[in-house]
Amino acid sequence: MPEQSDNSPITKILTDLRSGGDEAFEVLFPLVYDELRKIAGSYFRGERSGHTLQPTALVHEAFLKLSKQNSIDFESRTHFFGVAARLMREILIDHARRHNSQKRGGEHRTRITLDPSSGFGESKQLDVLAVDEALTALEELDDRQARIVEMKFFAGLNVEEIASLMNISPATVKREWSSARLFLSRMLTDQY
Amino acid sequence: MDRERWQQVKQILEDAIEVPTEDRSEFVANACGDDAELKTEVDSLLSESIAAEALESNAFEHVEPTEDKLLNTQIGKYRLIKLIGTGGMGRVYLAERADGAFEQKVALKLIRRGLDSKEIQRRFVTERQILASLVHPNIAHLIDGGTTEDGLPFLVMEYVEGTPLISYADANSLGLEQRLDLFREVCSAVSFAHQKLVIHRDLKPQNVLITNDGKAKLLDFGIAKLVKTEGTETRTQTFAFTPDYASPEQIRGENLSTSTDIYSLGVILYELLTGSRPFKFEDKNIGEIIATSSNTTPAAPSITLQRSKVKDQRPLNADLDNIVLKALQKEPERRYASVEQFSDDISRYLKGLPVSARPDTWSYRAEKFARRNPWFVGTIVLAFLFLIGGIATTAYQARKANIEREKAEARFNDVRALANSFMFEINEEIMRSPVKARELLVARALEYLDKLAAESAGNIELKSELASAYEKIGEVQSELFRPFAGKTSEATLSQQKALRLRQEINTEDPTPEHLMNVAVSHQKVGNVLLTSGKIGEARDNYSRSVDLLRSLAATDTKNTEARRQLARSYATLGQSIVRSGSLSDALSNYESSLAIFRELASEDPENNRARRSVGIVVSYIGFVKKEMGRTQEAFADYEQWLAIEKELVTRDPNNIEFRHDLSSSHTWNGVLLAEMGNIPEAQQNFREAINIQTAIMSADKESVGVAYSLADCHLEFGKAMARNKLLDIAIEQLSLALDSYRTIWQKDKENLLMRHRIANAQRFLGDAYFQKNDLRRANENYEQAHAVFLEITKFDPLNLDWQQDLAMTYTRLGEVALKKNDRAAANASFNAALPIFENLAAAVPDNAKHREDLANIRSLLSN
Repeated sequence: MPEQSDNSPITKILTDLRSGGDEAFEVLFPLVYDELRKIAGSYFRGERSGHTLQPTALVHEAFLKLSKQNSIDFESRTHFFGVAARLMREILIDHARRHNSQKRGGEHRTRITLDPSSGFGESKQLDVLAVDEALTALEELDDRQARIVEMKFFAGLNVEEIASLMNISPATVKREWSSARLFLSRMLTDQY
Repeated sequence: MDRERWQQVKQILEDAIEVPTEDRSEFVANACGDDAELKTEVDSLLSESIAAEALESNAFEHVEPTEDKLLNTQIGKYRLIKLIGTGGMGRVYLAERADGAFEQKVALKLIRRGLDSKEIQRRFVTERQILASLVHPNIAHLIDGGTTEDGLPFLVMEYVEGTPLISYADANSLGLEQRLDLFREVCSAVSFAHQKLVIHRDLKPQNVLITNDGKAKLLDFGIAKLVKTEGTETRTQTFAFTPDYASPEQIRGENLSTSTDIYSLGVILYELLTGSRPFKFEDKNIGEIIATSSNTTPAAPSITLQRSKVKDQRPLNADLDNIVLKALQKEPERRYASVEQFSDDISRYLKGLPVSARPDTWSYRAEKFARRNPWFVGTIVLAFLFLIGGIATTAYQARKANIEREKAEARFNDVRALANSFMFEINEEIMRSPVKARELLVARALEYLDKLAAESAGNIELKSELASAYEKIGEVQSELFRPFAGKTSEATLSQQKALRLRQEINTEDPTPEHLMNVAVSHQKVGNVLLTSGKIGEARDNYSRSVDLLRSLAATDTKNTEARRQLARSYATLGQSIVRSGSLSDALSNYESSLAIFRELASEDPENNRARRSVGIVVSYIGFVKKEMGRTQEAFADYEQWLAIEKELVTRDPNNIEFRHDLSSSHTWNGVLLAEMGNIPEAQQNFREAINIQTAIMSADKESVGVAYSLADCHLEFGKAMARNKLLDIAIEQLSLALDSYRTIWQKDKENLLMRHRIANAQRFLGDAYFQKNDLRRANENYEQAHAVFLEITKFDPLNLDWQQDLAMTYTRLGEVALKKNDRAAANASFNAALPIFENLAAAVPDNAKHREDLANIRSLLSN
């Protein structure tokens, strides 16, 4: 039987979230997490195209799907992306952790590698686990910056999107990001 | 570090980043004062760059796919040794021959997406054969390819060990001449491929490897296309190329020629010389990317180099600037005509000879692109553009290339099928996209159809497909662009192209079916002509259609479709005659139409469509009778119409269209009742119409069409009440209409139709206030309506209805001035209206309303 869309749990949770309850946040986690992980899984398995531009697409896809099933209204959107960014971080870290343990028996790989092997892999590879650690260190120092990094690096949102989510100006986001990324970069290369 | 310290560090750090590099150390020194530790900290962070750049990407690029079961397995004849790269298209493995026939290391590219259909598989194979023929010392050779057991396509390519072009040049500190020499080597490879009619489509420094012995090798020739043409997954469609290096036409998804590679080579040369690219699209959305790449002229390389941090400034002179900028021209035809010419110009520069590239002239810049509107294109629209782009290129190649005829034909057929399905299936998506995007889509599709049409000689099947496509696109054009007569005339053109094809088909192979298609095509041409106010021409087409169908229906009385079409043609002929003023002629055509529709409905009582047609024609008849002053008869017709619509809704309660018709029927009953002075019943009908629309709307909140019909109900209600001097209700309803139109317009500001509706509502509001003697408000509304009408008529001078609206508004402004006893101002307004009415009367001599308006304005002026 189809769900009564008005009373669907997710809309209620998002509404509670808007009125600012941390509890709601906790409840929302598993729902969104599930959906994101499902979609992310298909990316990891290479079933989807376009590996490179995808976190935003993924988050948007999850949003579309959840909103179709649960009729999330438009204002809940921003809340959704805030939650999703945090979850994307968890999912990716989780994935990387499992991947590493499978491949190297749990040994940590180098934090940053340059991949000169051919023209196909053109960019420097980062270890997302190391990024996560560095980000945790940044969290200790500046929570807002950590949120920005989360949304940008883990959920692939752009400066404007982040600005509107956090209710600050794009210029501020850019500034915060500029110093945050230097901080992280140093953390990542220190032991290299 | 603690939180407070970090805030301190951060502040200085962020400020320092905004200071030009050369002033940074001084700035930091000043900002830190005598806190040496702080300065060390900031300096250390500022010097970070290795991972900082990588952080600009996103996490997804740094996670690897789940356990790679493929390693050490065999694909085709090859065993996978290790993963050497991943990208948008898929994964690349280093592999070797498994059968040990000979020792050969290869790069095996496993494409992520499956080949969904036989057709696409076949095209994949054809393309691969073409690419395999590209044998050149500077091109990484395509060796083999196929599909895995899971249906994933793979390509096997020569394995190249080397360094990407720019990293190589920088690592070896190559000087200007060496860089240019290397670049010319790349040019020779691209030129070779172009002679074989293969376009690379994704040239970038990462695809140009320099081997240990200093030779350039190009990777991935033609691969972008091979992968792109499989695109069926639309929602997450991304570029199959790298936007920073892509030509504007490629970014817009247009037809590509070899010139797109020339552009990309230009970007590579730019980067090779200056260390940076003309544009960086990272973080930009597709709208911004399109706008920038289409409209922004890049800075000259010499200027970019001066601004850059590159230490050894290479001596770039104006000639070199001109060469690079010529390759980077927005329009393909302004670039070098061939890679060879591009390369030659560089050679001339190296020899100190004059080069052919010249700087842009002012007049050229001035004429460049009026299309400055940044707009957002949904991914589906984007996918459409890509598809059409791909198709058109295939068609182009099929025509031009010296591939065997058979192959060419196969490609051509694929293209045709795809185009057709796209034309029809994507229609709804087009309807939902913004006006700008629609325009682009339609233009693209037309370009493509015209190309095919040029090749359709002697092929009846293709002609008939093309005719359908033109009809379809004509419908899209008139549906989407109804308010732009400029566009309706384009719609007319499409319908006329369809008609011409239908006529050719019928001449080559005269059958009743082909003849009927001609007749129906005349009808469609008539429809667009009528919408754009070309009443006489419309009438000629309808008459022709009636003649043809009458003969068809007479020879074969069982031909129901011919009779149905005949009934429609009679009805449309009637409509064109109403517009030219001869009501009794119109009436007799409507009656002929009605008689046939009634027959059809009684032959097939279950057929709701036939019943609906009866209702519609009855409403036309009611309308004509109302205009003729036969009000009682008209009223009977309208009641009958209403009864039919009610019956249809009962028969099929879920049919939104029927509900919509019922609402219209209530509205027009309301209008008539109000004219008859029966205000209570009129109001009842209007309210009922509004209720129905409101209910439809609550079921379909997204639909702009519904919101717009509801607003139209309010508008008609308001107009009717204003005529009956129920001014407060009128003002209330008209204001509701105005607000709704404004809300709709807010969502799509390019929508001229909505602007027109807004102005119209204001004009009638003005009338209501005028009658209330509130001259200030009347004038205010007329003024605003006038401004809009003036603007939109300038935008589209061919739309006669808008001309009429403008002239009417001038008349009203004049009347307000008269009431204020300002004769001079009144005359000024009347004089502005006069030439417009004169033009209208001359343009459409058979329109009675125009003649009346003209007489009226003349009398106002002579009073």
